[in-house]
Amino acid sequence: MQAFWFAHGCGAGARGAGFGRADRRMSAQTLAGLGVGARGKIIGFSLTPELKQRLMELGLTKGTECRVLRFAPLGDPVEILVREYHLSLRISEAKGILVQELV
Amino acid sequence: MTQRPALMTPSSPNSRPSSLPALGPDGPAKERIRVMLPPKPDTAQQPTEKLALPINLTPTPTPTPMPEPIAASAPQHPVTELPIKTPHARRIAIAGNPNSGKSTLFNALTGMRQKVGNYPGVTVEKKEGVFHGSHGEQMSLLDLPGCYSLQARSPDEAVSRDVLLGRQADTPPPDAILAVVDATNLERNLYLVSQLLELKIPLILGLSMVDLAEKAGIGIDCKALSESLGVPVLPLVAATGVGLVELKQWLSQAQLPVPATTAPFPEVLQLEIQQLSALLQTHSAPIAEATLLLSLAPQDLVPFSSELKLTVEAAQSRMEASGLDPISATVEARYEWIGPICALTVRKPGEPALNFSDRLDSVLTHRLWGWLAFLGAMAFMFFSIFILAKIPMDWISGAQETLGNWLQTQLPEGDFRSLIVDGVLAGVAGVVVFLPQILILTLFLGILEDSGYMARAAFLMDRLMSKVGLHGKSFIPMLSSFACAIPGIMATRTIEQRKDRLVTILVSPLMSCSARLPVYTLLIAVLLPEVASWKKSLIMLSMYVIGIVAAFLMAWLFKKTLLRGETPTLLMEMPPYRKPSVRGLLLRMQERAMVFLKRAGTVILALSVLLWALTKYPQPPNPEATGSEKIAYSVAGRMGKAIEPVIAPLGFDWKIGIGLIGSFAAREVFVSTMGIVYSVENEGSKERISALSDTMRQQQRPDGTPVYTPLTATALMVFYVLAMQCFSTLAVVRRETNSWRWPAFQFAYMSLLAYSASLLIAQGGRLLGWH
Repeated sequence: MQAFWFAHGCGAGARGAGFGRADRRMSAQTLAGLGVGARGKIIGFSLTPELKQRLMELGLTKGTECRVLRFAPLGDPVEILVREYHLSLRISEAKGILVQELV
Repeated sequence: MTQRPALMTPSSPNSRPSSLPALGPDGPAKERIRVMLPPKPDTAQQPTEKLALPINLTPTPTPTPMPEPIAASAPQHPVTELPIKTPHARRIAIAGNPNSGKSTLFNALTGMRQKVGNYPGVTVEKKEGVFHGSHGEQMSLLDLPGCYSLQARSPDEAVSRDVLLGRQADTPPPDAILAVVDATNLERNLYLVSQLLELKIPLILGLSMVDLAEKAGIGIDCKALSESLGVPVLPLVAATGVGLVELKQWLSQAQLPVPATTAPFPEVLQLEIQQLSALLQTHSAPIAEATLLLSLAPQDLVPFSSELKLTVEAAQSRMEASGLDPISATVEARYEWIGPICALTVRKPGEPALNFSDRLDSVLTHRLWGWLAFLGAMAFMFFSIFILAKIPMDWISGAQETLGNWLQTQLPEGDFRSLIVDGVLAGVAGVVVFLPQILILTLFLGILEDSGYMARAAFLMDRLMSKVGLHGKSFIPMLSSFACAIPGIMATRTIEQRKDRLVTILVSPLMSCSARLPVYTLLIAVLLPEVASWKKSLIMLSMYVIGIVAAFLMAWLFKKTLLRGETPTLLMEMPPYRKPSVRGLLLRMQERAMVFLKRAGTVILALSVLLWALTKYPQPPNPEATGSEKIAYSVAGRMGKAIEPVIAPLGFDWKIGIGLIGSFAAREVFVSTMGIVYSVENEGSKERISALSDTMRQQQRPDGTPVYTPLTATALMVFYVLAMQCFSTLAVVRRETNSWRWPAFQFAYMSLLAYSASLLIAQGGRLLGWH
């Protein structure tokens, strides 16, 4: 997240800077590892059952696509687009959401 | 309470025995009425005794309510054939996700004053209203707190769940549900609807914000949606009244149909639901109850009785054995049902272009511009409180002066004139003069909340808040506490974890509320008589900052010691920016003004009279006594003197002590008290609030040094920042935490904090050679 302290301006052109490209090539990773603008498909969770259930109820079911919109200025939380609405969650939770990055 | 356990028979799972008004003489009604009549001592009640459920789950068997006679004014219905006449007005509950426009619709239907907000969870109170159906019959409307699911995760959501499931003791389940669904966000909104359908309560789906959806290029086929869900779907624009007539027509129907369609579940799950619901026949919604119980996480099962827990756990392990995850099975099945329905009925524009909200967000949550905008907004708010509010404040104090002078000439000299001029007028008007500032503050907070900016502020602040163990959602109650700690404390109901909620409640009153404004304003005027307003604003701002810093430090301390727990999770919807409605903002300001004026007219008036009497009597035997001697001789003077040894180290004299005692009813009383104290002292000379700061500056100690040195004034202000001097807040904390323990603790720690900080300033400053 520290990567978002510098580089990239605002607006549509914002791209996820930082984060090793090789890292992001991996097929399975967590939502926290996606850069700004990247899209991922949810493939699983490693969270407490209650949190997993609430996230699913908010529409983050397996197979759902989501997109990282932005990180807060201090690097946490992250705002994502899922099922046509905006949701913000902490990096610590985003790390428990396993995704497959879509190119 | 109003569940009728004996009435729900397994043979008629779809008929609701609750008190639907029996209006039509048609078949189903008769059948239902028959079920309603004799409370059969059937066997369905047995399982409850075996299955001891938690207190509010266990329905208390109540007698079938006797029908009330139709009021003379009530419209006549063809009820002659039926043994039971209309028992009561139809009760309708509005349910929906946070931000779906429930409150706006509620306002449009009832016209009742109420808060409409954009931040998830503004609707925390039980809000009821009355409206008239299309035949003119009265119906009652209940605005339930916004919830994403009946699987409640916050006290707010638990209220909605309990009312709808009939678990809430004081609120019977509604006769019909008005499910409000945001048209711009259909899919997630339908999740809750899929749960509501299982309640088997007549339901109508109100599609809100269709105008916004249209603008965004989203089209919804209401007819197809209605067919897929098996319930009527009505497009609504609450602000302009579109769809309200049709809505009332549907709600006024003699017989409301019970929804028949529900999301299909896997066979194994379906079987378990049937089995468990058979044991729950005494509940008002056995199917929904069973479905919720079966998908509970182990942690959520803890509060239930061991018998029920065992039953559910056995069912869950059977599900797991056949490859179903109980946690996700129902959720996935619902979304798998909703997905195709949305695909069929919603026409979306291709890849959505960057809309207004997105473009605004890229500035307002930017790492540089975002902070500048945030600080700018806060600075502008405090600046306007000082500059803009000055004009109407001058009018009010001018009017007070004129009135005081006029009364001075009209009334005969004596105790009565002193009571009116020095007691009532000095006390009440001295406080009313701050109304403009309070209105401006309320307006600003209202705009921030209704526009959706509050969620962005929480997004910006979350990292800082999490450092002290809170989360962004705690930011909203704390910001609301700038207006008044009471709504702030009530807004903590959206916080899921109990400990985090408690910490937020404990520190919220440290945020400077509007009642402190008069005190700060007065003391700043004492401190800086003729200085430019921006310097005054700066001092004012620093008082707010002291409160904020203290709140953060105390939150951190509490999280480390008393209320240790994990850093809470944060899941927060970021609603699109919306234009706040002028009407909503005006209603909010009016509400605030009424509360303030009511207080000025009742509590503060009474206290002013009391304080006047306390400062006036008993009178010294020597008629030649000076004003100061008279006050010292009075009851208030004696009380002030009694606490003087305690407050002397802070640099406060006994007259300030009188003000402090008065403030324990409400902080702004300090201003009126000081007004009364000094005006009784200078009896005869005309006294007015604008001159109060001058009078105070002229006050001298017995040794000739001024009372209000910059050091004393600062220590006094800081004391007001930190001290808990509001009985109403303590009463609300008592209500929210359900014990006197927490308000007592809060009072103790804040008093100690205030005293230590003031002592530090007074003594530290003296050591450094300041005055």
